[in-house]
Amino acid sequence: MSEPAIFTLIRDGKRRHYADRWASATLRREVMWGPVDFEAWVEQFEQLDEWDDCCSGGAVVDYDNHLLLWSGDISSFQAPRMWRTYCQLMTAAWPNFQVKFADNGTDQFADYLGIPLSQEAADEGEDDNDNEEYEHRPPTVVEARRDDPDDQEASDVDPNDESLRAWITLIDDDGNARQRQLSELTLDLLRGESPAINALTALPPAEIPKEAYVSEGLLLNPTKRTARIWGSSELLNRMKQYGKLWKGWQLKWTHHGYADQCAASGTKGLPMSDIDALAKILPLILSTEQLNLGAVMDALGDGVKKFAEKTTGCLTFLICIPLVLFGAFSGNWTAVAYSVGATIFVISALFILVTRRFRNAVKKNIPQNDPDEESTVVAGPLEEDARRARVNQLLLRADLPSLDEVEPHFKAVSGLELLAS
Amino acid sequence: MENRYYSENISKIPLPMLVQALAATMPRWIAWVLAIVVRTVDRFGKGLPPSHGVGFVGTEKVVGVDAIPAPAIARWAPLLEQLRDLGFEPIKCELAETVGTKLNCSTTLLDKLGTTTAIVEWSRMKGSAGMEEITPIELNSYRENAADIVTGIVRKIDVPMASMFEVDGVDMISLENNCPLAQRYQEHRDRCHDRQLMRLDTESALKVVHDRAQRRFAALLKTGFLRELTAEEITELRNADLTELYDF
Repeated sequence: MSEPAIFTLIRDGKRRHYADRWASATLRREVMWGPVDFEAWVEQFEQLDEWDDCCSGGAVVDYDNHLLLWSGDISSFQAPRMWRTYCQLMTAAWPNFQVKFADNGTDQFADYLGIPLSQEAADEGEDDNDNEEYEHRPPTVVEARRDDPDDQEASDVDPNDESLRAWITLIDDDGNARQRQLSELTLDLLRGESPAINALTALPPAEIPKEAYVSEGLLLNPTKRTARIWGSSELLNRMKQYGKLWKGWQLKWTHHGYADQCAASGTKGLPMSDIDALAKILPLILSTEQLNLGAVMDALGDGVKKFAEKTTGCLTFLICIPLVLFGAFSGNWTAVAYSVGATIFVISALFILVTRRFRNAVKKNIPQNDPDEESTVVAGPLEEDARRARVNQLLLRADLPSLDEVEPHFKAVSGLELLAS
Repeated sequence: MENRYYSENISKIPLPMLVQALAATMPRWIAWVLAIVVRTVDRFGKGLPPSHGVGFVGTEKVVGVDAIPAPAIARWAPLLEQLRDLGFEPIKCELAETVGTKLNCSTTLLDKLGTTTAIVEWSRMKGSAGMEEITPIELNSYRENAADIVTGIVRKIDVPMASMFEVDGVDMISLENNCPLAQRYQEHRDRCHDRQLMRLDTESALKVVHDRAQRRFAALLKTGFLRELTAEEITELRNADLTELYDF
């Protein structure tokens, strides 16, 4: 259980390599503090004699050529609007630097550094290429339906469904817009296959989603044979390959896909504002919480404790019901009050005793942190006020709303939930 | 003259119906306890304060589609697509006059035969889990000197509440919105079978829809399911914090 990252700092032509076991998970926070703080943050890790490709993320910072190439967990930025705002902040945080996200992770680092991948990593890459079955996108429209056609209840819209989805707008022969939603744009659709478009038309109509919940989109006009597509860089790369399959179509990549689809549907839609996007990005940037084994164990412990508290509460309530019924029939409420009080006291004492014993047993058997591992700190200033001031400066440079405007929209999350946000 | 506003009167909802409505979001025994508490407190004149009020029929504003809130357009998209495929044509959009934590708008459509109108609503208001948006549909077929045939298409939890709206001059059922509208429209057509229906054009449809809305609103006031808000209640609702209501 780890999120290893590898870092290479290039200054005056000299390369220094560093590694950390957990840094990849929250790297999107650490890179946000700019070149100086990032270098100081990386230097706290173990220095390596040579570059290593056994990692899930990392960065190459070339201070001589003003380039940052990085890769880490950006799953929370799958909505293009969120990614756009994040990139706006990064551009402001790394002035005069070219900032690039490495879609292919270590392959791109190795490529930049001119280092051949280890045999193990190269074999892994080959396996990925050979394994034709591995493909995260559903092959057909039918397999990417968001509703369950066999489940009658599923057609009831869940207003709390915040999962990301693909939004497709079809313009019919009369010029009317028909909305459809899929979990992702499917391979048959990306290849412009006619049966896929027919299958799409046959799907149940869908709502116009909020921009915050859309990861990619497609605006199709089969009559005029025009299509506009938008989404992640992975989709863009794929369409560079599939674009030629759309014979007889005018296919375009667009950077304002949501607005285009809304305009074609005759509405302004529910766009995501800078404040909405920043309210999801900034809580992690401001936090100093770290992801490590201790944090994971704490989160698990909190979950178990909450469950135990609820169960004990229900048990106490159930035990007290016969006592209250006795009071109702006998009228002896004094005895009932004493009994209920004594029951609550005994159960509470037992609960505290059992939880302490459980905690001690867990502490003995599972180490909270690797004793060999030195504790590390997050990038940027550690004091709350200083962090806030720096974030405000960054927002100002990026021409984005201030922290005071954004903060009321923060969700109250902490621990692992915050680190995953 | 100050606008008059009206709100649902919870004390007039029969206890079993109140329990059924509450049971949709909680265990039935808790719904019973809560319903009894609400009813008892209400008896002593300490009922729940209204969260919103709506104006009488005629106070709503007829508007273009551009003036309809974006979330309503978003929620209506699949419904209007289906109605369009069934041959319905839009004849008007309205914004209701409301006070407090409620937004409401509607669009009325008329089918090709001119015998059925579809009134698609959008309401945003405070629910048990924060702000909630609902989009009930009403299919109406009108008759001279006989009860109109009305089919409500609503959420599962709202189906039991339909009987509250059974007033004089309305033969109403409510169905769950869990299947294609074509099926519900067919069910409505089946209910109309062998009955003499009014055939309407756009102009007469607008007049009949307004007339019936006025009549039904007055009937609900008469039964007590709707009550007029006091001046103090209206003032309180006007001063309510509506940030969340408009935070789409």
